[in-house]
Amino acid sequence: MSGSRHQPTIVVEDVVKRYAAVTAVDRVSFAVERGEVFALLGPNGAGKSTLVRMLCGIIAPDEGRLRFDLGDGERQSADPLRTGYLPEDRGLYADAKVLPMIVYLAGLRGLERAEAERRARTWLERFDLAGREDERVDALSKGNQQKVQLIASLLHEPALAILDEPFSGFDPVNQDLVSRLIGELRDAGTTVLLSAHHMDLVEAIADRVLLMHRGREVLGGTLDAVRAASGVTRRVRVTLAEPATSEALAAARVGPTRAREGGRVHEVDLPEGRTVGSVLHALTARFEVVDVHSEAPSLRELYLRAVGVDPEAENGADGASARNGDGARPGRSTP
Amino acid sequence: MTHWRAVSLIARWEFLRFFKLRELALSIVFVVGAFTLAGPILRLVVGDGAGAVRVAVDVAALRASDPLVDAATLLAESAEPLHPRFTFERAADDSLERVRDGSLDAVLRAAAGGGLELVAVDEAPGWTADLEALLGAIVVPLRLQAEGLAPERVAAALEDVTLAVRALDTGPYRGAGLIAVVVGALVFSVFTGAGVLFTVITGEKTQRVTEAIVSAVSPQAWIDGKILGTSLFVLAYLVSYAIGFAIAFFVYGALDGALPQLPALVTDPALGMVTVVFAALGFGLWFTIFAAVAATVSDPTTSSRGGFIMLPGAALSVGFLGLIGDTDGWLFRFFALFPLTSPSALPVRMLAGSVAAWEVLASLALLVAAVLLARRAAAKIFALGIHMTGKEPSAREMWRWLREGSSA
Repeated sequence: MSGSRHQPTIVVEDVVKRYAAVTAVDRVSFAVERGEVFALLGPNGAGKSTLVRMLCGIIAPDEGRLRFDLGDGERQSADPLRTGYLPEDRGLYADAKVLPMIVYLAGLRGLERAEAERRARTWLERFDLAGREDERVDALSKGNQQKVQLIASLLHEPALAILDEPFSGFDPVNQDLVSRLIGELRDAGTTVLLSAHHMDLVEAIADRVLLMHRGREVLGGTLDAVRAASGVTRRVRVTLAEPATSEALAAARVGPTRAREGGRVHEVDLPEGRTVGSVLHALTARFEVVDVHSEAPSLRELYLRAVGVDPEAENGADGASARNGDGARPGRSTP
Repeated sequence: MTHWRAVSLIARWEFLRFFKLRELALSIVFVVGAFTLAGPILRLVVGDGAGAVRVAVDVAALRASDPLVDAATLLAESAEPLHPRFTFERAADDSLERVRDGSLDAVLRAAAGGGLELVAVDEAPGWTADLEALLGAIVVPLRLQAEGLAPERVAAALEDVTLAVRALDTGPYRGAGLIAVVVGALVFSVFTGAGVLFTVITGEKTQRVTEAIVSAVSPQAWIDGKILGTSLFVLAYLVSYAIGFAIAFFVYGALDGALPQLPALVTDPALGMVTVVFAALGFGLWFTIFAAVAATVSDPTTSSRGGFIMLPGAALSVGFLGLIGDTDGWLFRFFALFPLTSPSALPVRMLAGSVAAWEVLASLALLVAAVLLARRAAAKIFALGIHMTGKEPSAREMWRWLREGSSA
């Protein structure tokens, strides 16, 4: 891999894609740097897959420009021989055998047959599919078919891997396997662009993210930058010895809080620049604090706030509808 | 990767998906077996009409001094069998009853108005002519002798005429049977190929394979590879059937003691080559058109566009008109030049008579041009249609794609 890390591999400029009744992608711009893991995030219908299809040359944008540079000069489209693509709509020939299927798809990406077979056997072993080379694809479980598709998209060791919903259809064990694989691709210098709505999984592996909503970009950058842009870099949860009102805490210059458990527990969002210590200092001057817990807000929470949805409300009555299956888990605790 | 490298990879994949060597070998064995056994089986089922016939002769009722009486008596009393098919006996009292119950086929007796009559269950037994011929062969010398001719003169007069047969050299076989086989094979093949393409392309849409392929190669390379692979698959089966026919031809000939005339397609390399080239280009043209149509089908179980599968076969069926019409007429000449029908009509014209070289070249040029044009147009429709699900594109939309679309 040539070139520096901060050189853009993909540049998306004011891209628009319209369908009959909807604008699927509406003036989206971003750049993906060489060797980073860049995640497009958003619920179903956010425009991620449309954007990915344009990046893969499957459909053309109505407006805007796409530029690619994999270290061999700028191009208007991704070089298919140096790009790997895992489509959202997984598709394999059901009647084909596993090994020939992988070798064929890798062959279309320029990999010679013998080398493709050799690599495929190694990958199949890694994905616990050794000995199933001659089975028909439709004899495999859905998860194993996903593995075959993932192997086929990466077998030619692309410089750019575009993975549309790479975690979809996998159980937690295999989701971790895919996460590790993406980390290894980054370590090997591969630029990875992935789209996902599993925000918790992406949070752990993405260098930068672009949050999309109804075809538009909502937030973008590193996780820290996204948090800073959202106005909340950390959240402090304090438990008091005696109940107190939010107004009483505001008077103590703690700032706005959300009261829980009858006023004994309060949550305080910290904007960039404000520390946990300053909150504690203000609190301990007037109240007896019995417990403190701080954490960074999760991507899911940041996303919901950015699109104007109250995460608390979503977690309550009908959280599932807003989660869109992202399987959210609490943000990482950093005491 | 170059365009043609991608095309060859795709063609190989498409070919091997459907080409099964074991099935091919079985199909050859089937063709050989079916055509070799067809004759004997037909004889077994239909019979050769030469079953044994038992006839009782009512000698007592026959009048004397009539050569017919002598002939009939001779039939009834001869110790030697006079005919391999007939067995004769003197009539008894129960002979008519035996005719009724089937243990006897007929009773031969004197007719009331003179001559002989047969009493049988059927009005016209199939063996009547054989019996008449036998009686004639016996009675004619008797009649001649009755007219006073010496036996030597009678023998000389009745001497068999022997014909020496010399076959006229008409060249290899170019008859109606060959035309029917060639056109039938073309129609069958194009129908098979169109069916394969329809299944493959709609299947790819259903199985969602399209994105993985189209992100790697251009739609033009994909459709080119598909057409090439499918054409090779169909040609492979066509060749296998031809091999099967050829083996059956020689086996049948060997069993029958003489080989039938070789067909002109085998003995005339130019004709054979023109037929193969036109067949290959015809498949290419029709498969290209059909691939584009199939790409616009969203649901193969409900789409009315499945009916298009009949179109290539119907167009190539014009070759059958060569069996009943004038292949030198203006209409057939048009069919032989028109690219959608020429793959069938031109070889038929050549089989039925002679065709000017310019006509073959003009037809070939038009066909090649049509294939190239269809290839570009079909790729544009294919490129957009293959991604569509739900509503099928209208003819107007497809026309817009043709004018504006890109397939590269």
